[in-house]
Amino acid sequence: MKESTLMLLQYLTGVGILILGAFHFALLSFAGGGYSNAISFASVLSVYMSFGLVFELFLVFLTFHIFNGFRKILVEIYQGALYQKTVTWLMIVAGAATFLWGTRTILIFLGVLH
Amino acid sequence: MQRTEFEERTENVSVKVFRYDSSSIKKAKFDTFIVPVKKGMTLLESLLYIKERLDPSFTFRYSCRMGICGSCGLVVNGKEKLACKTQMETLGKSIEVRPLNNMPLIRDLVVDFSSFLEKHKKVKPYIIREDVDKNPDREFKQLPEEVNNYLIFADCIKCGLCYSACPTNATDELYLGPQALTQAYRFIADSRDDGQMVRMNIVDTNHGIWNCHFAGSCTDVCPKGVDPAFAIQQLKTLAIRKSGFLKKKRPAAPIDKRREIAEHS
Repeated sequence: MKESTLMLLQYLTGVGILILGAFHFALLSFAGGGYSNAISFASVLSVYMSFGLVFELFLVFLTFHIFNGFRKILVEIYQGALYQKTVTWLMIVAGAATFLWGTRTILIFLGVLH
Repeated sequence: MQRTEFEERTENVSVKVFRYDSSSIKKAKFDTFIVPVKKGMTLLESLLYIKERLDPSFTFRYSCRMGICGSCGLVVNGKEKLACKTQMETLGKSIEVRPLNNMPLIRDLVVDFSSFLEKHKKVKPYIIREDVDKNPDREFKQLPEEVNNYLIFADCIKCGLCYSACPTNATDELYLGPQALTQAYRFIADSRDDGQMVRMNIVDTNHGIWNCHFAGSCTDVCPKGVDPAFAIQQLKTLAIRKSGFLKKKRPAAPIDKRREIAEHS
């Protein structure tokens, strides 16, 4: 993939994180009963049930943004073809593992997995 | 004791210069020289004073003495400057002079420009057109507005000050650097050029435009008023948009017959 395509995705996921993050904080602060009620077990569970797909989208954005950003930093600090290839693949594997683990957590909360 | 006219009009300034000699035991050190500075004296003249009267082994690079050749780039009190364009009275009583950063040292204040110039060559800094051979008798006219699109970037004298000031060049030796990227944009913005795709493939890479953190130090130190930071941001915009700027340039205009007749008559 071209570097400009990766960077475009980096910017778009950044904006996505900002929007969904703001939504997340708004949900905690303003939805019925304020912050103390928002972090009660029953409330958290109901939020997860209602916004499962949104959380999954948030996870996709975060995973790409974090690991692509990390790759960019590491590739800039040191050079070399083998090093760059290794860093890229490490980030892909780490990103995939994070995404799968996060998805598993979301699916457990949604009651799909036990 | 009566002072001479020359002494009365001068002020002693301490000039601390970086010295490097790969053949000596202590390879790198600083030497301090006292230079009598007259009004209107440039840093280059001070360095020449040191070389001519105090230490003939002191080495630095210079040529035109008027800010055109770009040979006398140095780091003066922590900031990149052309020695010939820097007035001594703007620098205070104590001056520290170092060679440019991000390039290998050769001796004293002289650095090796090879990698810098290689990167400049890499972006193909010349007009690329497919129809030149097909139309050898035609000319590529430009409107004044079209010239303005790239004129500011054409002032680059390849002095290397931006390359030295760039924080990305300090960590990423493969980074093309502000000078080369600006020249890539200079030709992409040129209405006569058709090599945008070729150049975008060179700059839109791991060590190209995306490594610019927009510190702006390149623009800050440029002695010719070129704006490399702006050029790199323009390249980023073009790389993201991918279309629009890639449209074919208009064909070469036929030679003005009236002018041709006038020239031959």
